[in-house]
Amino acid sequence: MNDERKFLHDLSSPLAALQLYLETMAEDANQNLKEGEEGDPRYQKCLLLLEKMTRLIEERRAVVKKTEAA
Amino acid sequence: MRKPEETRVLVVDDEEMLREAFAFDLKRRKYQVFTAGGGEDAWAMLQKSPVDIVVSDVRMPKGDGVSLLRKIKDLNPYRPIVILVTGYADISLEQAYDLGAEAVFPKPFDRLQLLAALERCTESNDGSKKSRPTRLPVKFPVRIQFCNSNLVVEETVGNLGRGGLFISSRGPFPEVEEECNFKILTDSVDLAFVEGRGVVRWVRNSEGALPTGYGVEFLSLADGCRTQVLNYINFLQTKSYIPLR
Repeated sequence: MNDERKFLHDLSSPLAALQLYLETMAEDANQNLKEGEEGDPRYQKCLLLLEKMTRLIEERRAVVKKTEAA
Repeated sequence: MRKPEETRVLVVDDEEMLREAFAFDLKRRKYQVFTAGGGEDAWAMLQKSPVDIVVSDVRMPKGDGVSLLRKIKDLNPYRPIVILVTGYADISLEQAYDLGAEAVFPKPFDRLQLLAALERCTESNDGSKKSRPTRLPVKFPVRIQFCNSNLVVEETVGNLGRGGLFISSRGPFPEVEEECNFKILTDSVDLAFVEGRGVVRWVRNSEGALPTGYGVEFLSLADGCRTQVLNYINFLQTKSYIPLR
């Protein structure tokens, strides 16, 4: 596996773990909400940031695959 | 349908934090969860204590997920069900399904999709050896060689299913539990041939309301055949597990 592939591969696991923990924390926090209450917006912001990071990884993966195929 | 608390799941990943995070999520959903840090440890655990579902990373330093999948499916094509999660591995979806994976997810994965995939696995994996009800009436010639008697027969497949086939026959009939090698030649462009090894599970040797013949359960299928069979009988459920990205 070349360096860039390895980097993308190694980054994906801790990111997946972070996403799992955040989503479960957000779920738990939302369960305790009373009617009309809104959840802590920080969870949503964190999840959006993770989504952005995931997209960046996927875009980079696509470029690497394309480069390797050429 | 098996309940989560009755379902044993083995999570295999060399990244400890991801293993723990996933185990945490599954345990709070009441699954019985076991973990392993690589394919070798996972295989050793499976020898001592079977599970219903394996969720495994692909690239791991101590035993990769593809080798683990091959070993599991060589032993039993139906159980445990294997779901692969790949960081950036050199395995295509086609290859993964040909090897017998139930679903493949990229990392980071859509958690809810993966949880839904596990739920679907509990619907299909109730421990029964019967093939799923999805099957197709067909009329293909088949050549069968029985392993005990060395008898070779040319028969007709009356029904093709995800888990096996019904052979329409007037005799001679095999013994139940006899293993056989078979090759089905089809006239369909969507299913060129199906070759593999099976075991006779039941025999109907007297005429009544149903035709005589015997049921053969798949033990293994030749490379590429599994995907063809699944597609041919319109078994599309696994596609709902494939992320769009």
